[in-house]
Amino acid sequence: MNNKILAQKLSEAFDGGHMDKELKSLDREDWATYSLIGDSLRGCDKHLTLDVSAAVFKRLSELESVNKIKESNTVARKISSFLDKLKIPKLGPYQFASLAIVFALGVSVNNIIGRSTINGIGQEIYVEGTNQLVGNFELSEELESECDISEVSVDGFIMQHERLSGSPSMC
Amino acid sequence: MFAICFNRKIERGFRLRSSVLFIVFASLVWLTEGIAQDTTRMTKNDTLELIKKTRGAAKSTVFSGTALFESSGTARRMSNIDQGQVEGKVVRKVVSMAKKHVIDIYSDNVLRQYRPEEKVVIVSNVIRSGFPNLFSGDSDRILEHYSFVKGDDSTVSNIKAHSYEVVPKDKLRWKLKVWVERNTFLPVKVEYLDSQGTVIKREGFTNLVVSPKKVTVSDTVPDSKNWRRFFISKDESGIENSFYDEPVKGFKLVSCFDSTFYKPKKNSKDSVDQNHCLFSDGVAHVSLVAFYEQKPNEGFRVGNWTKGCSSFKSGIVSNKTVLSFGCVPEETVQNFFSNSIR
Repeated sequence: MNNKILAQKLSEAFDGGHMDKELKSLDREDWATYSLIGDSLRGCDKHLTLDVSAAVFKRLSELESVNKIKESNTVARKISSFLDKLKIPKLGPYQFASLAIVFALGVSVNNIIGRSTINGIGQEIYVEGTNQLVGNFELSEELESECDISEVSVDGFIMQHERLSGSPSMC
Repeated sequence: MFAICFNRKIERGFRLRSSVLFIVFASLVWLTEGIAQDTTRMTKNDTLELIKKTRGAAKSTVFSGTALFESSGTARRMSNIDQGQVEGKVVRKVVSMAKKHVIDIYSDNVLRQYRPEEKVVIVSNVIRSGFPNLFSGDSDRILEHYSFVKGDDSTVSNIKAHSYEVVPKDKLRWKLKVWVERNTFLPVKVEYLDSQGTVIKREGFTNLVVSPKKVTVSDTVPDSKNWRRFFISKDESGIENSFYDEPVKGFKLVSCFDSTFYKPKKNSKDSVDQNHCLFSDGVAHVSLVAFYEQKPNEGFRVGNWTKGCSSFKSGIVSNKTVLSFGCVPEETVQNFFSNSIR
């Protein structure tokens, strides 16, 4: 089925034809993406037994090429480490850029990143099920919400509210 | 002279008769409305039974569905939600694609968020899982602040449903419209409405299979044992906190969590853990955090805003930086902000 038609059908099914004007005027292009994800995760008649891992790994393979590009950016990481040692205060955008690099590189048991913390945003990471320290973790990235608040601490607070209360903090 | 007096008497008679007629008409309207309300407003016993059924259904019904979450502030999210039994425990799996791909596994009030892109598992203690769970806490307390009104039966995404209105008794909470599946009483859709009656947030299934023949609810993702695990909050209920137990009418302290926060401009010696307390009236939830040493404008601006159903307020109270947030009217977070610190 054409993705756009599927998206429209989903929208109509949910709205029951009585959607508010304000909500209806929103951009519906993302519906196509949602539909694809729904299809890939559920399949057609197998949706009750389909394991999520296949879809997850398919998506991971698609992202692999993107990650490879990021992995090659080791120069940026070295600059980041150098600035860390000098303890030069960073501006917001640069901070996020360095966070993205650290995430792309990843941390594994055999690849401990001894990265010092800037402004205290690093966290210790352990292998699941053990107490083995494997590296530092950039906290702010994992705490951000969908509210896209420009202030990271507020964004993290809202994301935490969502986790604890089970209420999607959608702004 | 006689004619003038006669006319005045007639006028007075008309006025009197009009007044009587108006009073009779108004009384009839009032009585009609009252009778209509009585026929739709649910009794206490019926309401308690409804809350009990919907809570039980959300907590233990085996189902598989796709849910859409929408806010009038343009945010939208679609998730596949499966709930079933794993080794005698109810486990819920929520697969979402928002800004990032996340797989949430809820079991025993512990949330594990698997993020395949980063190969990270984030672990949190939580007070409940989200939609289709709607109510929490003491049911009698819910009735102190909300009235329940039975609506018409209808069909939501091909699901035959009963509908109800959850009407707040004050302006500190939003009104809800709730649809529950007729047989199981599993909530299938909920709308949050502002004081003008406009829908500001909506959560609901676009498709749902109740009691499917087979549901695969795995509590792990393959190879996740090699993923990094990150504990982000720990239930610390019982520890002393700096907030009142009921800072705003109806919103009682549920629990405080030892939570990890990003705190810019923080000294390396400081801990990033912070006491995050959650308050609820059984329907709405509000979060409060007090940063003791954090000064505003170093990490965030003092201010307040409302987006969709969510309201936020931050600033200084008793020399502490306080943040308050929840899916409640602006007035409510303002009250939390002003009245929360002991």
